[in-house]
Amino acid sequence: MRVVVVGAGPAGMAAARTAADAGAEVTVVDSEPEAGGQYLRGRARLRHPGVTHLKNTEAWLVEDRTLHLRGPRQLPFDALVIATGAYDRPLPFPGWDGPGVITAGAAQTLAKQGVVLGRRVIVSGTGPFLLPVAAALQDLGATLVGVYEANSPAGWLREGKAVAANRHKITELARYRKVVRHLRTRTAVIAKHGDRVTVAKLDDQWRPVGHRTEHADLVCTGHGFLPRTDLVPEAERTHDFLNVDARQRTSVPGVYAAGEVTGIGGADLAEAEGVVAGAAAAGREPPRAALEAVRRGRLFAEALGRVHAVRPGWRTWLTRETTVCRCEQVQLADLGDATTMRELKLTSRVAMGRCQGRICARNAAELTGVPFDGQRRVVAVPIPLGELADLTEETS
Amino acid sequence: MKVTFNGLPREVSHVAELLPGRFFCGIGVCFGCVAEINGVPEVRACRHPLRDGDRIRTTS
Repeated sequence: MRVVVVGAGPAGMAAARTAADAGAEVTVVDSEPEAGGQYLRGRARLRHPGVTHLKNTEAWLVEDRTLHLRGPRQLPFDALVIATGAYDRPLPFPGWDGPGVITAGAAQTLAKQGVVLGRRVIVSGTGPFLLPVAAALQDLGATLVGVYEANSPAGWLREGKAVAANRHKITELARYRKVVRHLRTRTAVIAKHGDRVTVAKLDDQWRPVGHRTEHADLVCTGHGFLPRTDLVPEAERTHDFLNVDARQRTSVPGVYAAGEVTGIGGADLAEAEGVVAGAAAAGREPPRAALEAVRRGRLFAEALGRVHAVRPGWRTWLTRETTVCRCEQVQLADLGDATTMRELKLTSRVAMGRCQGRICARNAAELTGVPFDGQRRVVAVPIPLGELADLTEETS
Repeated sequence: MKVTFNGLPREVSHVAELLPGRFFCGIGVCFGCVAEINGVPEVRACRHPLRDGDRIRTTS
């Protein structure tokens, strides 16, 4: 049994170890130089009997039961586990494409390398992930001007079942109490010009109801996460997260998914899903404890999605000149009145640049009312034409 | 790290400091930080561990 796992974060590592322990021959493909993913960046080891770890390796296409890697190289598999994680969804506002604005995830990644890009910093967005980011920046000596949560945490009061099943999450939050005094809710950065940052109080739909100016040289922004689902463009999904059954199977035969590609619920849920996917991929019954951890974790993930959802009022933060697509410099005024995503791309060039819409496509769809067709690309990462040409010669 | 950025000597602790307004997602998704590094074109700088002597170019 050949199991290939893409991604070496908490989900991918758990899937690989579990599948190997069940007797499968496991290969982990990961684009980073070390295992751990974004969460355990540089703090994880993936050395396990029966597991081969391909570092610095990008996968770009799944074709039947073969995974294509940059190189080029092909990996045949009996079962594939997609554990490619997620990245921050940034919402545009005037100035978000200028200096001194990065994603909260970028700030966290830099902080793990001991680097802060500013002295006076603001963290703005929605979700509990903002707190560890703020704490990491403060630990490195930055002055925390504010931590702005666009939603109201009062929403958690309606989520008693999810909270009761995940008390350890509340304990985790207690670690960040030193940044909680900087936390302002129903608040967001809605513009930045130089170091002048416009901070708005929001209504429950995120429309500004008043604003003030703060001074900061770095704004770290993240309004939830978008999954990295490029390798299985045809797989069924909900809000772009991959649909999976109780065995972590996607709608594509032989393809499993684990971790944040299926929904955002934290590293412990990702790891439990990895255990379930790894066992199932190797043809074993998943351990009951892991199945139970997934059930509990999903309650939390669903509640998180409700309490910290992106509300439509953000669309009023932009002016006609605000950049929507950073790659192609497309402004709000350029978006026009397309009715499909394809038409929108062809008429405005939004989502047609280097990032292939990873940052802007969802936002552009919501700004125009065009139905979002998910992140569907034939090729998951940019490949030099020479490499494709070599491939054609080899296989024809 | 002592590097050369667009032909000029710079001393930085991270490649992000060289690319304000372009270094954005930090994990290779947004392609904002694409640069020529040590003669290799189209490198996402955020995925490149910076070393002394590196040559980074964003203009041709």
